[in-house]
Amino acid sequence: MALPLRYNVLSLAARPTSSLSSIGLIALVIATFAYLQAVTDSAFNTMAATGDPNTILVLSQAATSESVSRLGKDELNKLAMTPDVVHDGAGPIVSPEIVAISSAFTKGDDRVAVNAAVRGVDFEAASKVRHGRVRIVEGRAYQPGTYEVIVGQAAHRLYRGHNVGDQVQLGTRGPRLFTIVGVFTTDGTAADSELWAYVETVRDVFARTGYSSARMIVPDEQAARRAVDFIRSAAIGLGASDERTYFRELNTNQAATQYLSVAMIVIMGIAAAFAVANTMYAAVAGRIREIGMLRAVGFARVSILTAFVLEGLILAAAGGALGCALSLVSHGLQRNVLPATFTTVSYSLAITPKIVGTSLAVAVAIGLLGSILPAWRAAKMSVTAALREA
Amino acid sequence: MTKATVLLKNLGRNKLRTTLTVVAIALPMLVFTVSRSFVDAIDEFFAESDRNLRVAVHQKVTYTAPMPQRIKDEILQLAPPGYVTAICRTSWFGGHVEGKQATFPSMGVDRDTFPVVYSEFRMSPEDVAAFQKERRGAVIGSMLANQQNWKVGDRVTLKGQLPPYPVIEFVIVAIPPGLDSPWFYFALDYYDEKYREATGNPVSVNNFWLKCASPEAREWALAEIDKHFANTEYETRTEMESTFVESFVKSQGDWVGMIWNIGRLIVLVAIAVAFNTMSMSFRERTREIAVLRALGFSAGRIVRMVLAEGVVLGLLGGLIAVAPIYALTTAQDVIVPGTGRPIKIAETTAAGALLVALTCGFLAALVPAVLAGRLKVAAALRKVA
Repeated sequence: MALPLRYNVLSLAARPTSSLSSIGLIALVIATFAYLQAVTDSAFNTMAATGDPNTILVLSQAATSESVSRLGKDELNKLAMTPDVVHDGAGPIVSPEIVAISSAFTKGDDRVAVNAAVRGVDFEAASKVRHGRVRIVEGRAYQPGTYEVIVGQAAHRLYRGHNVGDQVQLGTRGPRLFTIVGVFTTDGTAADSELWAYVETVRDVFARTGYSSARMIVPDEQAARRAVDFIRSAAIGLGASDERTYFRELNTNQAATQYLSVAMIVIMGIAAAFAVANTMYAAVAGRIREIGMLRAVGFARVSILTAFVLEGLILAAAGGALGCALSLVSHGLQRNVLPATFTTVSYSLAITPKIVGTSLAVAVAIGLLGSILPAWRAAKMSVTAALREA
Repeated sequence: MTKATVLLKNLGRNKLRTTLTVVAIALPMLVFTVSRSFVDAIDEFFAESDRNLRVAVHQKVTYTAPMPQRIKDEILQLAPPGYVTAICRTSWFGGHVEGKQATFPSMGVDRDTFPVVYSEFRMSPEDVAAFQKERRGAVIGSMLANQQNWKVGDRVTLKGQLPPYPVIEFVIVAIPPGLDSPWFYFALDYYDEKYREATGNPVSVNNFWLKCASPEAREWALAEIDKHFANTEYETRTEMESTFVESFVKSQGDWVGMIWNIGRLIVLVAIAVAFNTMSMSFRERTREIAVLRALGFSAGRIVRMVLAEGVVLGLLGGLIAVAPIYALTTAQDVIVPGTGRPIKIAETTAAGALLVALTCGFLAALVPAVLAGRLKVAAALRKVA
């Protein structure tokens, strides 16, 4: 026979100070855990979302990232022979692009500038190879051949003076003033942190000769493999991978945060479990006669064990739920990451269902860890000794 | 019985609870101490950087943009006599060992001025001479040497990250004592030669690092160089080394700042743990405290007793957190995974953490202490615990 849940809830309510301080500290630990997970997960998800398995990214052979890749126009022409890529009326759809690095001040800081990516594109082709994910959300697209630029939504939020109508200096040799004419989004990919202008204009002001990269699209992953193999083969001799692989392999320097968050949560989790144990030991000690009575009227040892473990789990679940709710404060906050491209990528934190799930699981583990020994002590008590207890 | 004995007896009454509490206070304090040590490391870096009087001159657009090598002479001519001790040009190489994943920062530097501009690396006269003599010479940090198992005299071949992605063989000539980073520095003139072979053009540089002779000279550099290059083909931005480094910190989402914020927040956990324990033991001892009051102990004395118990709990937790990690990190290098940097805990940080732990105990005991002081003696004596 099991004890009713009501028994646990009432006994927790009988010691409100102790119960509430345990719930509070579990909440704090779980909120921190959820936040740290959001920091690493969201950075990874932003980079992963950027990569489409059906988009082929072509770089120069030895290049490790778009910002250090250089493609000549003649090399680009050879790509026309690539098998299995999607064509339109004029041949394969190719978007040759130039990635250059500029810098900008983030909002609220006029001292430290950070690197920002400037991408020279043909807007229509760039949108096609991104499967139509590029949308203008404010203003309009740039006019080719003019010093006009559009900014990604994340860049618009991150950088000071990056609104429609503002002017920004771009270029290496004698920078030019560009007017921001629009804000675009690519559905939360890394490109949202970039500034886009017409490819020929970017080449001109950044003193480049060819391109940085080229993108093509394929119908499926088999086609992607064939196209990549062809481009890498001796006939073409360029570097290529599908976009998803490229962004996965791009080092985002998250290792430190990842290790530290794991270490932190293990340490904090143990501390929280100890605090739960304290509360539960006190609960057991305060109810020795009651336990003896329960045993005397026929409740089995296992019912007592279950009851006390359950009580710890209720504490932990309440703390976990409160912690997840607290962590929602960070949902939508912006953070930066500097991948191997040397350009800042801004991303927003998301407390996802997965994070909530893991956080609750950790909370339950804390509750279990903290209550199992006190519950064991309660269960193994002898009936007569317990009843004799003053 | 002295007050101290009473205190210890009270803490010893429930040894399991005291142990659990002390450990549960110690763990958050450990996180606090270690996260503070990261902030200390950065502060220390910035302080040292300021003492070194170094400024960077790079293209206004960004520090990765190419600049012609000759700008060095132009800056030297511009500077009033005695202002600029030396200029070291740096050109990013970003090399890696082919076929190996590991990347580490590498760049070409002026080998004549490098030992002067980066005097804190403490290259010995022999190291300096070796770097002068060996064109293919490389000066590397001890962390990189340990990671790759490289030593002085080793030949290493690296492939550059930038077009034309040259593959160059270097000879390690020095691992100076003041360079504990994963950096790989080599001769710019050698890089230039290889670059010309491949492209026909001279290699460009990214930054001109000026070693200024005085703080006034640094003020001059920060104010005047950019004015001189304004409206030229290469507009410059001149900034202090600390500002330059902050840009990276910001771009990377300032994770040290984030960890420190969490480290501070987590102190609340220590307070909650201690508060829980103090209020439980107060609850269990209500009658006993009433007896003490009835015997003539003053309310103030009871309050002090409970507060002292909290402070001792906090202090014990603090000691258990700080003492081992302080002893361990002082005796040997404890590397933080993912950063490659050892944890260094300053005396002030250790002392500060103890003070915070003690304060946590005090704060946690505050409410139980006040309750104990205000206890209605008659009612409490009648109460069945």
